[in-house]
Amino acid sequence: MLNFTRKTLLVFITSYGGPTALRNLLPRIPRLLPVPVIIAQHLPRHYVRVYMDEIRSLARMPLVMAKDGDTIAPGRILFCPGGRHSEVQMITKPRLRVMPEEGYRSSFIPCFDLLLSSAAQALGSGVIAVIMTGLSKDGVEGLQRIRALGGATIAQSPETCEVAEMPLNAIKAGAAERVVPLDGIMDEIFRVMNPTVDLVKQVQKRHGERR
Amino acid sequence: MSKPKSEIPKPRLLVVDDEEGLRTLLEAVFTAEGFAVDVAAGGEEAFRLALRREYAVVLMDMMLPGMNGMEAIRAIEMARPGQKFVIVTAYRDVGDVRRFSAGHRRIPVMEKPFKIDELVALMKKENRRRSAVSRRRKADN
Repeated sequence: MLNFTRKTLLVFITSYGGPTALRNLLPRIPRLLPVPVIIAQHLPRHYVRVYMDEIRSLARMPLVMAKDGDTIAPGRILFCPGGRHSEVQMITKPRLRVMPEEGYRSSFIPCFDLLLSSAAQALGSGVIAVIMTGLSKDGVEGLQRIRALGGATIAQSPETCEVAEMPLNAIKAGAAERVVPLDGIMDEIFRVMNPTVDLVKQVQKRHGERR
Repeated sequence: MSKPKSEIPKPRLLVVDDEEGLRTLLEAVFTAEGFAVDVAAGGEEAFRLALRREYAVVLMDMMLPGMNGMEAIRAIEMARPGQKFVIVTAYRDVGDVRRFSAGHRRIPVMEKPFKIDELVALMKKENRRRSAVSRRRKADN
């Protein structure tokens, strides 16, 4: 897949209000996006699969429940499982380590700070992270780490959130480099990723996007 | 000009209980009280329905098979922040349920066996509270 961008991973984190916001976002992620995508949503363990079944048809690229050891590669969306923590590791290739909740101490499962900090550690400035609607402070430290290592950080604008605290906390902490409305998140990501995505969009326009 | 009564959509309830007889009974009772009613036999089905449409109030039994009612409430709250719930419980340890309720915006709890009139009154009260909140939100916007 063409990838002239230096971006190597796109991560979305969301909590309260996320299931609705992701419905809006998913159809906007292009099938040919040349960057791997990870989505993490706070949800009780057994409900992640139910949710994925509901939204799978909205996604243009395959949406799969992440398993321990999965390679992080373009062409599919890895959805972090419920009741477990996920972290990014670089073992010759970037991989997702999925561990039991006892494996990491956090009030939040999956812990967004762990996921984002590990992504920053593994992929440095290649990471784009998006913090969306939610109630907690989880993810703010992780975003700060990404920003410190040169990655891009985007917050959903509070007025477009069902619950604004999570992005607000990121904005107050200076962890969000860009703040954009829900409808504009993917366009902002395209701007960060230029010029690759611009080419992909041109190709899609020329050939039409098959779902 | 206000809409004729027949054009005003009925507030919709979701009744979640694994006892089929009780679900059917409550569906009939609330339908007669002027609500539209959906029913679910478990948390997973309730969550799926709540993803698809908004409910005025969700009546949640705590003793659900497999995934319990507390998990179902947590999941639905993620999808629908601010969702109104009423809990019904036959738990031996009602204290657990009350502690859970206190941590979740004091969700009203009704112990089984309950009086149907009291449950109807409680559901109507929660529906009114929800309507007042959505009116305030509209005014704020």
